[in-house]
Amino acid sequence: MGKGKRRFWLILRRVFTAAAVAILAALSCNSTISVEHGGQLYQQTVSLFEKRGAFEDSELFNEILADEVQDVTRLAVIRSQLETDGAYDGQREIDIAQYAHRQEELPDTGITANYYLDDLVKWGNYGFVTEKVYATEDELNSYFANGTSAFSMQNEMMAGDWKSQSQITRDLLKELTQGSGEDTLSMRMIRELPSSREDYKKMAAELGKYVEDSMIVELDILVPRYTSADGLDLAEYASDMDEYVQLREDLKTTSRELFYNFTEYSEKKDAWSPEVSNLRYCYRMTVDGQIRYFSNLEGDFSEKKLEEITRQFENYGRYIYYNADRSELYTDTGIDAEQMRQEMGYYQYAFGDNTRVWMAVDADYPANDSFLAAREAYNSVMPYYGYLAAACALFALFSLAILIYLTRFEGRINETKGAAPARATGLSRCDRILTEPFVLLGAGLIGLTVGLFYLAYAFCLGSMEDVLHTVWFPFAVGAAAYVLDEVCMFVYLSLVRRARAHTLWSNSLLLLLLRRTRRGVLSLYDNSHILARTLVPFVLLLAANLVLGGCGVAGILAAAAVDVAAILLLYGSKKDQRRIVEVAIRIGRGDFDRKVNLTRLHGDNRELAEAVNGIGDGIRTAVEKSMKDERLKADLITNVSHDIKTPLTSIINFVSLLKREKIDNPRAQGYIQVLDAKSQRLKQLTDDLVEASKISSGNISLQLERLDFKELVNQTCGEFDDKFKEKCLEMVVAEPEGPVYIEADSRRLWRVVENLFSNACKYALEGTRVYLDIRKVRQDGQETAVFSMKNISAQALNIRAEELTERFIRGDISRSTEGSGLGLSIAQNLTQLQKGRFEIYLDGDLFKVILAFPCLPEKDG
Amino acid sequence: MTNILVCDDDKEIVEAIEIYLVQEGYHVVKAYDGEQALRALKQEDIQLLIIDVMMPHLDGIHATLKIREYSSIPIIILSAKSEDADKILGLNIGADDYVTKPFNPLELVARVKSQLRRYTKLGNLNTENNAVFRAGGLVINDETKEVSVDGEPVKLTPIEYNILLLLVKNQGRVFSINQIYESIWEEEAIGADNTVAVHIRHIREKIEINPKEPRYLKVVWGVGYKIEKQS
Repeated sequence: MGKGKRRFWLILRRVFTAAAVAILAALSCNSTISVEHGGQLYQQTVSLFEKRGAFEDSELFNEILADEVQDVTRLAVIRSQLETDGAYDGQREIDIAQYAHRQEELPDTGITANYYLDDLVKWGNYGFVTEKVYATEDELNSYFANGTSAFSMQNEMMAGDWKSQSQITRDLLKELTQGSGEDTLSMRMIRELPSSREDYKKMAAELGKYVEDSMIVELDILVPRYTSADGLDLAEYASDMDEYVQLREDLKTTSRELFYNFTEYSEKKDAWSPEVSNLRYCYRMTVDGQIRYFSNLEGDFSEKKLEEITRQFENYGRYIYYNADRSELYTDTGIDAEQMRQEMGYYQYAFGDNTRVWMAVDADYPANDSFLAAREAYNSVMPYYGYLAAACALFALFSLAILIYLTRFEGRINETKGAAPARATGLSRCDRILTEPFVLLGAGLIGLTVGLFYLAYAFCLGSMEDVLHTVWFPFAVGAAAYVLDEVCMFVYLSLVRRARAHTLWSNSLLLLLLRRTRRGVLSLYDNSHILARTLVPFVLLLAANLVLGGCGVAGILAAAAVDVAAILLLYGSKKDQRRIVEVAIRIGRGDFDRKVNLTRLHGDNRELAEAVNGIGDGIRTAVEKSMKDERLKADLITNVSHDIKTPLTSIINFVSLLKREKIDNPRAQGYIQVLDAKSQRLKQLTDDLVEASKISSGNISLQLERLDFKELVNQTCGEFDDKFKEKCLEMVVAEPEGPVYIEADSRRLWRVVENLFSNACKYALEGTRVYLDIRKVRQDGQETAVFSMKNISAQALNIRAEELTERFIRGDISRSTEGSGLGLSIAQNLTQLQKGRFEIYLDGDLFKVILAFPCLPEKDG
Repeated sequence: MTNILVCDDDKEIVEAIEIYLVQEGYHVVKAYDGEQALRALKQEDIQLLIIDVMMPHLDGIHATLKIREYSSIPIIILSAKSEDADKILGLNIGADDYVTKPFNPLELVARVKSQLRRYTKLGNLNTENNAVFRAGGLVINDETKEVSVDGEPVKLTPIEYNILLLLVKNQGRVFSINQIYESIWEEEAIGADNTVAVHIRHIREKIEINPKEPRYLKVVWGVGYKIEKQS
């Protein structure tokens, strides 16, 4: 890869990386979808791995839906209180005790009063006017029980004199008295009873009664304008003071709460009308013992079956069907039954038996509500979010791919030229820095860069708010990533180059230190006296054990480690020794090329190894020289024999011609006989000489084949039959049944046997027997074919058996007979070349020769 | 008159060979190196060539190669080189026979005669007969019970004749001693008996020029005997 190309890929990669990081930053800083609608703020945090599903499956949708469920449920409850047949009903009668205590048990007095809804809402709006009266409890109870008291009878005439009623009350009373003209209990009580503690005492004193201060109670009486549906005054319903107080409070509570509900109702009753909301709902509730439906949809649900309603809601899109009786929820939204149960639980009083809730979101979103707004927001962000995430992943992938590509080719030079080896590596100057310092330097550089960027970020954070959500922030992060990548790639690629050039470890500080230490120690060791070499390590080890052993458990462990190291060192040294010994043994066995590898050997072992290698070299040189000499000798003999043969040919030819001449002189004929014999012998001698030298120098090639040793001996017997008969020698042959297979070169083996037979022919005593014997013998677990030949020598054998096979050595007997004296030597060498055994035994005049070959398994072919 | 070209750089050898060949009634043309031999071959009508290998100017191997380009006369190589490799090389390049020095002059004469007979009589072979078996120059007529080598009749005993017939009928096949015994004597071979081997040796002495280097009846040592299949 060229330099320019490499630069291009590097920059491209950096751009991809920066882009990926920038997008990542943009995504993680802007991962919230916010929707504000109808005064409500909905937010959803989008995670990087958000499934790009439909809006209806999003958190946002479900959050809005949950809110809507809550609100609609409340509205439905209010509607059940205020409406009759789908419209506000002001004439509706409200049981105040029941309403006021709807969330708890009813009081056991069992008294109540019904009021018109309109009245209650009105009073709730304006508040109640009361008048304080003072009397004893007995007197008050008497009023409620009998409509009058002893008090009222007496002071009828003096009314108005001592009463200091408020101006408003007085006006009201006047107005009421004039209006209906009816004298209600409340009015009487207000009129007749004093309006302060002092007045009551004064009045009591005037009547001659003494009343204790503690006996006087204060009672707020509602002015007599608040009439019930039956047109009665509240006081009429009570039979004593406590009941009145309870009824009064119930009325106040009911009125106040209904007013609140009415306010909310008038605000929200149209908030879910199908024109403005995509939510559809229908509540089936029991109100006043009757099943009623409350819905924002047209139509009479009471006519329909439950399944029909359910189907209708399912068709809108997303639906909820809740059976409150069994807390069963059927929905395809994220709302769960528990949520539903909780929402309904707040208004348990309203949702009695037979409550069913249907809800649906119209997936066509015909109305402009928070669902639609959220959907728009969601769809405006989500797809791009997904695309951006995909782009980010894609860029990251590209970046990674280029990184792998660059890593693969980094540090290889001239890849395309082919001439340079593929593993050639180009190291730049920075790659020569030792590995560890370089890594530290790189880490420092990276740290510095990151630190600088962080400082810049902190500065921006200090000077402006919400840096994370600015438009330029992702770009800044991308730029930072670009710069950081430059630094990281510089370090990384250098490490790659080192790894490729195998200098990661070899050029490291640790290795350098290790080597220096090792070299120092070794040179110290190698150059020291043998006593120091032995003693110093031992003493050091001993000292280490003693010192460390006294330092507690950690010390003992350390000492053990030191010992193990020492054992390993000893083992290594011993192993090296063994290696040397093995090589020495192999050299001893004739493998002269074997050498000890000198690397990693030190001290005595190294010297020993060098000595062994030297011995091996010496032997090898000597052997090679002797082999070469032998070959030269064989070549010399061959060449000389060719030169001898040419004149010899002439001699033989002319002697032969002489023999055919008619020569009368018997002496001349005798000379010719000698010439003939000697020239023949000279011929034999040259042939044998060539053969013997060739065989002994190993300069022949063998053609080993499977053959029957017995057959060969028989054939040879046939060949020599006539010659033996000439010398009156008798052959005595002993053979086993069946063939005796061996592996040998048939012509060479025939030469061996022929030599032995002709030897016997020449040197055996005439008229004796020659014993030939073939046997199969089991020797050393292997079957061996053994051939032996015994004969009686004609002459005394006064030499050693070994000498017979040495060249040119023969028994004295043969000096005057034909033969070169090389026959046995050739036979022995040929036998040994064919991996056979050749032995000669002499015992007096008995001459015995043995041939032995390993047998082949008996099989045909 | 048969002309034989003798070529050797040793003049005495040429002279001795000439004496022997002339005694047998041949005419000898002499040459002392390869080039002279090639020239003589072109000038004279030569029927057989005896040529040495190691000679000045042009050696016997190259001369033989050149001669074989235009002539098929019998060539006998005469050489001091007695290695197997040398013999194989000589025969492979086109020589008909290979005699090593020092040689028996009578054997050389016999080989010359043999080569000439084969060369001159090759053309007028007798009409083929089912009872006639051939292996090169060896012919056996089973009807007349006659055996001849290169036209020379050979006298064999009945057993020798049967053995030779068996081997010639199955040229190339190797017979062990036992197989030969069983098919000739038609009884099982018992124990050590070198009768067959002795007969084989006698046959070889009768049909071969040099029984130690047989052309026809070869010994396969350790396996048996065979008649070499002649090309």
